[in-house]
Amino acid sequence: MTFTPVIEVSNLTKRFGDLVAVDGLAFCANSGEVTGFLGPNGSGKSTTLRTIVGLNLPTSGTATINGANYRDLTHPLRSVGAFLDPKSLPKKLRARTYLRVLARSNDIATSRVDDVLDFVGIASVANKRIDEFSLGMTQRLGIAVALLGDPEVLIFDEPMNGLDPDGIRWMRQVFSSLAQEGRTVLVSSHLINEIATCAHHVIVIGRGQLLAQGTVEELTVRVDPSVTFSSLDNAGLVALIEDRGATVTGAGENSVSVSGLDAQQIGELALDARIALTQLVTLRDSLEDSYFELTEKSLDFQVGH
Amino acid sequence: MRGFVSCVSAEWLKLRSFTSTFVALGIFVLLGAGFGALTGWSTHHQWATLQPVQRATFDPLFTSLSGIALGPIALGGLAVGFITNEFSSGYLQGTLLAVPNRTRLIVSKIVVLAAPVALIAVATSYAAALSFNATIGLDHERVVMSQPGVTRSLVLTGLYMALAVTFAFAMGLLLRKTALAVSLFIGIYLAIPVIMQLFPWHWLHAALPYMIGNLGASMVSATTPADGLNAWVATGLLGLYTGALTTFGVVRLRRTSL
Repeated sequence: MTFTPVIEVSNLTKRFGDLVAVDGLAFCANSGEVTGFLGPNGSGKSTTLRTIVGLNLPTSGTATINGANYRDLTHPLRSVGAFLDPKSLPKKLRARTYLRVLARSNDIATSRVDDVLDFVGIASVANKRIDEFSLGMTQRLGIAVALLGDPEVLIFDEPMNGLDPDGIRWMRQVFSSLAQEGRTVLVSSHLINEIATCAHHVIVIGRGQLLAQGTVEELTVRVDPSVTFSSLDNAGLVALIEDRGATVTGAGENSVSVSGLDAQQIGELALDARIALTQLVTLRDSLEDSYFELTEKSLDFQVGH
Repeated sequence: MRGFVSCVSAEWLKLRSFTSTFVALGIFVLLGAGFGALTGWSTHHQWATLQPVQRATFDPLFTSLSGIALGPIALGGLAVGFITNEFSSGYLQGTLLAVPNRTRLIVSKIVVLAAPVALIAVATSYAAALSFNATIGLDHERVVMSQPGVTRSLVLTGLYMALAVTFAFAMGLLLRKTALAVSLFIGIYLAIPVIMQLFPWHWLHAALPYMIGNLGASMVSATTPADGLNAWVATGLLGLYTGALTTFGVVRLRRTSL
């Protein structure tokens, strides 16, 4: 399977008055992959997604899908399915009626309405008005809306908000299988664990700027791993380690944690100094730790320590 | 063009799915036709007490269509709500994802709103004239369909209502808030002409024929009213107001981040 960039955001800036919501952002989302779009609340995720689908006009830069601006597509739902906000559903219409309205607007076969209702598992309540839906049913309807035109590109903004664990697991499976079919799936979240298990590629932003991007594995090792050791002469080894410019990040009764040197380098230092190591462990951060480390400085609102 | 046809079809299904659409149209038909019957009945019983000058200038067609003057009030809320409800609920986002061409969306909405209103208004004006004839009795002046200007008048009634709902819709598009747009529309339609008459200035009174309601009266009447404009001039002017307001609304929507 080939992975080609489908959603391309390049040098994108969006200002609302004095507020810079997105600041020179650039990234791609490829076909055949789930791309996780991460950042704290207020980091510019929604603004970026809304710009990709033409709800916002960029202040400068571009956001294109297969090289085209969303606003120039004649029947966009057939190539791009997006669900960005539960408020975008008309509460007073029945779910089935709304899907029929959307199908008509994009010349999509009416039979697709029942197909997607079945697929997301809300066919039995499809004749209810949307304001009678629970949060979980609303999110499922949102997936149905996005899938209606059988599009190659799917974009979701915090789709797992308010879902129970079963719902979250179901949605992850949906995203993974859509990507396996070769589609491009871009999913935003402010909770990394929601998408860590299904995203191939992760983009992290803060204050409208790109903080990091890469595979889940790459992001996990990007942050310095810390190494913990115990030895028969901890103080002596620490002195050597500090000479090499590394820092001690923690010291317990018997063990010391160090960052800046990896386990092999520490082992070699100990061997040269003839200090016997009794324990040597690399503690790799989880993706969640990397995420916290990356976004910490960019948080707008922080809880005081 | 393909995109336009599917958008019209979708907006039509949407408009039909709201109960309030039928309530507003029902009220309009009842008022229009009901006033026809009511004015006929009332004229029949009060003819003896009318002044000679009132009898001389009696215009059966214009009298039968008095209920049409209430049309913009009955339908204004429907027209405003067709766009403001989408703004206030956030539902417009979903609509714009399906139809990102905003000019196409607004034109489609106006078509599905104005075309049925025009047809229903023509039918209602016929019903009003016929029920007027039915209640006024045989010994009074009745609406004669074959008289010059009568058909034009009934057709222009349809056009007047279509332009009035488009005007109200455009106000909703610009103001985005249902209550604000409805009050302001009714204010422009009803209150401003009344206020203008309260001032003793001649130049202000000279502007009265250019108000929406007066333009509508010129369009609806088979003859040119004494202090009014010719029906076609009135049609053109109301079309101009409506077109300008709508264009402004569309241009602004296209530039908005939403």
